[in-house]
Amino acid sequence: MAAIDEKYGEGWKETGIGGPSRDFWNNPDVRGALYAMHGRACAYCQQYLPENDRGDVEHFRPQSIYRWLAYAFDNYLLSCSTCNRLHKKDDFPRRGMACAYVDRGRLDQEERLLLDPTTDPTETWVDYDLSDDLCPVIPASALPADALTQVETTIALFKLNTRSRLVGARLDAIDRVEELLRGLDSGEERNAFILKRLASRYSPHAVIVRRILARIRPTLLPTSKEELALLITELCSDLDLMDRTRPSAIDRVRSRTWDRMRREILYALAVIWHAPLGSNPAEVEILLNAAGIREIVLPFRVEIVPLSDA
Amino acid sequence: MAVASDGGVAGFDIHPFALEELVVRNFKGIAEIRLDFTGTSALGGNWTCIAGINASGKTSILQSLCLLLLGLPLIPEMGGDRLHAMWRRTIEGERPPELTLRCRTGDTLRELFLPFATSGIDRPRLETQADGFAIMNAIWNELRNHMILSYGATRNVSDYRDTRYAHQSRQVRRQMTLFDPSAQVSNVDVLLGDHTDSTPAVETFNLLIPMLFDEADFGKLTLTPGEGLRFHQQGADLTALDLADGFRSTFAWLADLCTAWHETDPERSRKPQDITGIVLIDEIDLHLHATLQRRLVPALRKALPKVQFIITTHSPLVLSCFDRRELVILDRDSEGGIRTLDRQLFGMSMDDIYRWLMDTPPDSPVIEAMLRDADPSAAVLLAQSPDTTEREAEERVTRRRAFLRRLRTDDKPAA
Ligand SMILES: [Zn+2]
Repeated sequence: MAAIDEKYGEGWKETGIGGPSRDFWNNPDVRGALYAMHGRACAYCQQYLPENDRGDVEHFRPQSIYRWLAYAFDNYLLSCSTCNRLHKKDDFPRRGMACAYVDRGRLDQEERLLLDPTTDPTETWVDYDLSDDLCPVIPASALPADALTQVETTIALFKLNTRSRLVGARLDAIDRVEELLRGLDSGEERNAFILKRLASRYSPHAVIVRRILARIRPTLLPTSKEELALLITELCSDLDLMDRTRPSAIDRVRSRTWDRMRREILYALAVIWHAPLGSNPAEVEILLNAAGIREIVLPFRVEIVPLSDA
Repeated sequence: MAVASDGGVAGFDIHPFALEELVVRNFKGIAEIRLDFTGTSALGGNWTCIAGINASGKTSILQSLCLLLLGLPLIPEMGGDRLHAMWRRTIEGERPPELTLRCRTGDTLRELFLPFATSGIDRPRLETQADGFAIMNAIWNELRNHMILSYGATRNVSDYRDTRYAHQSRQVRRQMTLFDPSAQVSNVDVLLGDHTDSTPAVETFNLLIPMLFDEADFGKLTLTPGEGLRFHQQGADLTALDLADGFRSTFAWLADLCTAWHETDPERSRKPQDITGIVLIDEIDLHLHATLQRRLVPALRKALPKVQFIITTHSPLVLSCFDRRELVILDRDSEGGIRTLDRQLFGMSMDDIYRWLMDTPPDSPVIEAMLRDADPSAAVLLAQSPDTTEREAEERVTRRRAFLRRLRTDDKPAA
């Protein structure tokens, strides 16, 4: 991304003319960094992003309106194709004008009507109505007016309570927790670990799982450090699985896809190593060493941060 | 190539002939679109599959292609009104279509061009192209002997005789189902047994069918010259008209293809693998049972490897039979009106294809309406699945309700 600024300068951001034309946001380093931030879940609806619908790299502020943010990493999210293409499209609900490049210093004063999953305290702003069989997402009580509008607009725009698949998946998550807790109470010790993993912020539908555990079994909530370790374990096992299913070199198309997806995982691990949330690089290094992949991740880490900084 | 003094071109051989690129401007709803037919795959044959998200003009693209292949000599048979209906209408007024086709004739890449005018095709404009005009005419003349077939989305067989297109040449008549939903597939006589000199076509058809279908699909099938198609199912002796819709419309175009292949030269090879030509099919999946939708294209690749197919489909089952480089996904919201695929569909489930490619969420509209009304009985419906019965679903919801009640009352966290 820094290379883009170096190559194209800033002029195109102001005029909207020229600038990079390719979709650099689909490069493996960008996707990798997003996996490191969100895990494999849609930033809006929290649905799992499987291999076949790996999700879109979504521009939070659409590039059709905010061309100058087309190549700004802070503007990227990982989103499922239903949220991105069917519901959000090129919309960006807000009051007043879209913030232009010349006013970029005042971007955070823009009156946007959507929650920003990366900067807003989403988890304390949303709640679930547990007295309803469908457990709909609702705004938390006593929210300031602006936040209330943002939560309501987000629920309505992404149809978080009316998409049957989504509602079904959320209810499945609740049932899973109920079942695991029941097992745990009758001596299935392993379930505690599974529950921690389900409640990790990088897991799909984690918000409702955390809400439930916070109420009845707060000791099972993972710490940031545990969450990160779980994410690293998951990425390592993805990598391991990929290495065992490498397509033959003759199959060029599959080989290319395989190579790209493998690089995404390695970039994700490199980003975590460089700036681990709730942990420190030395601890991450120990985990990577234990998994036997420190040497494989190292060049990617060096690439994202030249050694002099590291 | 020698351009003779009379404007004709001598010693012209267009074979092997293949379509490479189509540019459509101002045709019906299309402002401009560019399609590439050169995307090859390891799957065999020469295929392009056009799929559309929203009403995106799949049929218009096949029609443009068909007109370009008929060319100046044959298009007038279509009738001026029909041609005028193809103009693009915008708020600023009507715009005449301009169609361009790049095709490979032998080793040479050539261009066919069709500008429309009020009178039909803008011949004076074509004539200004000097040598180009002579070459285009030579190609069009050669193409009259080439097997070109179009099948519209309502193609079918019936024993009703449609005589409206009797005045047209066979080459034009064969394309009419693509332009007129009420037209009939032209050479179905062979299926119905009304054709006396159809022996070679019948032989080819009898070789072709076992390559595409199983006997289990419709019972034992026999096609005899002059007698038509007979098949035996559950002890009954039935005719082509008794076939299920999907088989009938598929057999119709296959029989037409076999007839067309032998029409110019009855001595040609009977082997399906030797057939060459261009076949345009709108909605290849038409009325076909899901299992057959999945089987048909791979079977055709093997049976007719030298035919260039340009087809359209709505079916994710059919889409998943193609390499991404053979797929053209029309999408008004994408740049240039076409969405470029960066991944293969082979491993995807039908749900994935619907959601990812057709922008159709696989959600049930019935449950969604209940969810909009916050109808709690949706919870039991959502819990049902191929491995959960209605009764199990009810139990699950009851258990969940008890769990949630416990959550609400346990305000003090239990350690
Ligand atoms: Zn989503």
